[in-house]
Amino acid sequence: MEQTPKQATASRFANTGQGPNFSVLEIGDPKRVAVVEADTAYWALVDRQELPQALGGAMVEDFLARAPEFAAEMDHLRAGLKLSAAYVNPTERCNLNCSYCYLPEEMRKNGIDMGEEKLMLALERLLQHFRKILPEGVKPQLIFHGSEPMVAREAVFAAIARFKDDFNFGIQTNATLLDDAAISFLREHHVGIGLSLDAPTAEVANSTRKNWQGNGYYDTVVAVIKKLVDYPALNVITTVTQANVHTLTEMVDFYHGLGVRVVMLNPVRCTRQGGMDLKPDNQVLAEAFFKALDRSFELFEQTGRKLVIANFANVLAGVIGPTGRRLMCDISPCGGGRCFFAVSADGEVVPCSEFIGMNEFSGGNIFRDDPADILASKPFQEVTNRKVEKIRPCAGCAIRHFCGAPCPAEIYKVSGDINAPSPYCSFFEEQVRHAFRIISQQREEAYLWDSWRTETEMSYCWK
Amino acid sequence: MGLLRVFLCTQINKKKEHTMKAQKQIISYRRRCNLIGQGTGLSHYILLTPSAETTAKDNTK
Repeated sequence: MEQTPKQATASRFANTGQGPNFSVLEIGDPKRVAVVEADTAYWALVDRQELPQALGGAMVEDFLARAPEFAAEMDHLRAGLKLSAAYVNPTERCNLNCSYCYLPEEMRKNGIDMGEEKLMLALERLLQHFRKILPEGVKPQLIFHGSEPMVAREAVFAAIARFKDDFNFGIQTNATLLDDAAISFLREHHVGIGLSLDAPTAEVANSTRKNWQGNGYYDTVVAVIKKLVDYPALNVITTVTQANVHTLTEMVDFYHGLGVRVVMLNPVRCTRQGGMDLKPDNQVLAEAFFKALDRSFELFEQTGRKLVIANFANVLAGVIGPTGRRLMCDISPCGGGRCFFAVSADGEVVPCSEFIGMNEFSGGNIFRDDPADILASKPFQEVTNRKVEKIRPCAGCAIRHFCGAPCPAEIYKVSGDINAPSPYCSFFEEQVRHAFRIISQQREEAYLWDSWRTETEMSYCWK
Repeated sequence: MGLLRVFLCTQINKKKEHTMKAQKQIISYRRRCNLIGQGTGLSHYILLTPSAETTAKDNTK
């Protein structure tokens, strides 16, 4: 008699048959290891003695029951988000000549301005596109970016005044041109302000961030930070190089002492020779970075006042809740060309500011082409189709959705191939391990921005 | 009084959650962005834009 084949049932064991692929990660925590299912960005921290419990039985069944939901969430994060931000460079020029700038020197020195009339037209065209695609009531974000946007102050401020009800505005500036009138204007219009400072001392800070005559602006920038420190929409970016990597802990003390609430300690991008020359060693960077994080925790414990190191907080947030991340660098595809794009001063549109000056990545021109066509263009598709699954060794890496193998522009410049791993690969590995250690110590709240809890909700908890 | 009660409840819930996690041999949880349903998320690559909450707190005008 012919038997009817039985329906296959879910295995109770990981790593065989129809069981999930659970990777076991050494995270450097004396008590626990991490168990990760990479495709869904699922994780569990398990007592070392209890590891067999995680590789079979209830935890496996619990994961299998929720896996479709986790996978759908990752699909939405990686393919379902809409364009909601634009970075606009109102000028190619900059009054500084920082050693590691990612923009071509000739452009910064003798480049063009967009001009007020064309800037208004660009914003109008962007707004029309955003209105078509965003849900009613959702304001797009418009960030004036560099070169130095304050070189084109009149045009920028006129645009902010005209479109104040249409965009949430931000400006990333070197702070050297922010006088009291400019600060008042930006505050009154609730413009997010990002400033750049690289060290707690003038000697180190001025060694990389200086004008065309070689003079630094440490004192000016610190004076501006003091004026803005009570402003909730202030954040400071420190670009980490060989020159300042040993000062990160002092930097944390310095920022905390000033009352700054959010900083980013961003490793220098190797998109130009200057950045490549100043890239810190990954191990040196990791050690200095984690000491700085530890110091921020100590200061929080001592004072109750948090200094959020936002680039790390984003990695931590991406582990705890993949869709709760704010920055879109550490997921693949990255946010470039799908969540945001950048408009250069001549109207060329590239997936991200990091691509400005790389003409092969232009998807079109904002004054000539429909943004929808730009988003669908071949150069944009190259970036938006860049997935860790196509990259070796990332394809087999358990933390591939906590890292994202950033940044395509940097990797293209370093490797000549967009589908290659990051020059910071081992640093990113260590950063994710550190995030797991913090979760194991149940200290994650101390490292995350204050509104993080209200921006997210608990969707799963192992009982 | 209402606000005080909300604050106290939040603190008690946080403490409960903390204690619950401390007793576990396995820690595993996941949070979800409240805005994800809008298809936009929080999608910038530098932290610049103030949220409505932060601008509301700004009394510098």
